[in-house]
Amino acid sequence: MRYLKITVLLVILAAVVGVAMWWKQTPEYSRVRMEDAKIADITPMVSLCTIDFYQDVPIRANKGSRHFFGKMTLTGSIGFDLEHMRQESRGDTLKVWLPQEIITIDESTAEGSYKVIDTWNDKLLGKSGFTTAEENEIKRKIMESFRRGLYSSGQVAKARREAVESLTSMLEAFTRRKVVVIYR
Amino acid sequence: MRVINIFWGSGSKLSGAGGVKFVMNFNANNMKQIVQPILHMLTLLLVTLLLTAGCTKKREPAELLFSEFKKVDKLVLARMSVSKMATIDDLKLSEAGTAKEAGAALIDALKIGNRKAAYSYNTYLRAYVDMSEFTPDDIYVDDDTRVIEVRLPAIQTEFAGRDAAIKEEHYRVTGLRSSISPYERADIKERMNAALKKEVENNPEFSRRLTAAARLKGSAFFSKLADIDGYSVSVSFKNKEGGAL
Repeated sequence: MRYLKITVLLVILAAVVGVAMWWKQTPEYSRVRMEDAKIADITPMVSLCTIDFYQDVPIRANKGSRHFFGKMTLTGSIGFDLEHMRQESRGDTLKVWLPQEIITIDESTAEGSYKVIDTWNDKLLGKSGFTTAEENEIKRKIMESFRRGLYSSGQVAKARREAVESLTSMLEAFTRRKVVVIYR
Repeated sequence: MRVINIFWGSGSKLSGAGGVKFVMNFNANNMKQIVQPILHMLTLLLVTLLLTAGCTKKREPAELLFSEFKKVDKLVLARMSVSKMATIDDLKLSEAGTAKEAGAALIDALKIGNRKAAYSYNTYLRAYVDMSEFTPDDIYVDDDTRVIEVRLPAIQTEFAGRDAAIKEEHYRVTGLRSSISPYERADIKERMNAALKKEVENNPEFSRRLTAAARLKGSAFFSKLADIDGYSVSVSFKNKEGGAL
């Protein structure tokens, strides 16, 4: 009788383990469906980039009593549109005006570049969710603040200096003339 | 006839169907012997759980905020926008392929209301030449034939970034269904990003079209730049094309 009990228990145990293993091996399901990636457009350009950046920034924001905390990784560059630079020839000298910088700031494509760490509401039983529009607005403000930081930290000035140096040597090599690059 | 004795308190007998006889022998001493160790074990388990609750909590590794500003000398010649869309919808029983999916589809069917949404955003790729690899030796001028030959560095491609904002193309959450949270949107974006990178890396068409546009633009720009005194200009690129894509 004792053996019968043990056998029944072992059979039940084996069945439970078997079902658990089978369940674990079954692939995870997802409610998300992906469309294929499509090329939206291709823009030809001639942009001299002298600074590339990659920076993690914390996101802290609130809408009324609702709070948002997360992290995003920004990436981008400081570039100069060479197609629209003003130039003037004076004898053997070529005078070129460095165009206004174009700062491109995007979210990085590196893994984990956007993380929502916490959302909460100060009010008891208040909703802690944020809509897509609210979330986008929070991100837009973070990026604007980052853009201002690039100017105040001197990165834009540094990019201009680098561009003047790089453009001078490049144009001199191509035109075989003395080149003066001016930034105002 | 098989007999299974189950000791449970005192006094009564039950007969099972199908030729199995259950004899329940209720006995106060036996019950005490069985219940007491179980109670002790449960108490011990509860105390252990309470004591270790704080210690065993899985802690997230501390996030390090990384920052890098790199001096580069890149001449970007083309930028490509690639759009990707994803939808969230309930699982359908007819489309369920596995037991897990079928289970989830069944639960979804019982929920009151709809939960559908579609999101999209653009990812940017760029093609550039690294001008730090360009030397005066890469320009050859033949004054006799009035020809200038320019040999530019190889065209490289890379992911430049993606839209920080996500476009909500469609949103319909009704009834008692929960709204789509920022956590879910971040997770969707992460999955879209991984899928897009795989698609771009596995399909050479993306890189080919971007590189072709860059080559055309680079040739036109440098031909114009080097075109002085009516010299004819020939622009070529070094062969080692490649990059992140």
